Amino acid sequence: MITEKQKKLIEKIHTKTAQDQLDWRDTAYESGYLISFPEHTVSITENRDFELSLSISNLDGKVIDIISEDDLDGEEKQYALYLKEIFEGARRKALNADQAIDTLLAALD
Amino acid sequence: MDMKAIIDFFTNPDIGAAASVIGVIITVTGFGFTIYGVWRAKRAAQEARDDIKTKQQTFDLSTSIAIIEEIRRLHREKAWTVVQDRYTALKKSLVAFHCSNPTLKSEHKEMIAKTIKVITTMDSEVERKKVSGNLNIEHLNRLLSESLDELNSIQVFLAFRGGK
Repeated sequence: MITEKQKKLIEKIHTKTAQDQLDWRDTAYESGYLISFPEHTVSITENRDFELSLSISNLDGKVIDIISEDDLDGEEKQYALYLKEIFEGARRKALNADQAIDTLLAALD
Repeated sequence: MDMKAIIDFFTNPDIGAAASVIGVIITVTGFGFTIYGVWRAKRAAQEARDDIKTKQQTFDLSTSIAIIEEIRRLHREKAWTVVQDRYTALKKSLVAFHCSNPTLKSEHKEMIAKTIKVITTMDSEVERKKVSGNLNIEHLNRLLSESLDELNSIQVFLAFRGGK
């Protein structure tokens, strides 16, 4: 079960990630990416069971809120799909996947 | 000139009025110089304060930068236990810098928040994998290099801005 505010946050991040408006960056985790704001960071990580979670951390790096795929049931399953798409978008952005493809395409022309 | 002529000169109403006008001009001019002197002294004091503030800010960031350099070396030496203490020191240093400089630009605050979170994930990864030693040192140090570049850019900006 997630709150309305959490849903709104996922929706906004999902939209902005799809529009390539967020500067997702790599973290020390193998499957984790983050965006930073002046006082907080938002991270999306995939655990060993391939479950995704979106977390908000304060300036000390402490997690102050977390939304896991586990928390989503019933009608909220749509948000699990959003998390998956956010994760994919974040990975592509953080690892410069599009740039790599452009370089490869240019090399192959 | 006899005594009467001198007395007549000083008791002449026109001379008195002229003396009053001259007195007012001298007073106003003197007051202006005083105000200007106070303003210059205040400006000099403000410049001195800004200079001290800039030096303190760049010193604080230099401390963080030095710790990052040290962490990179500790990663290469695989000194995992020692490096975790340095992660804590770095986070403290960056949080202190962030909190003591509320006028920092938003993008600079974001850079600092990002570095703190990256260090937190590093600490967590090292804690999880230090026994197996299965840590990607190249990846960790690449993340640190990015943070180093960002902190250096903040330092350069502050030095040019002059602590304002």
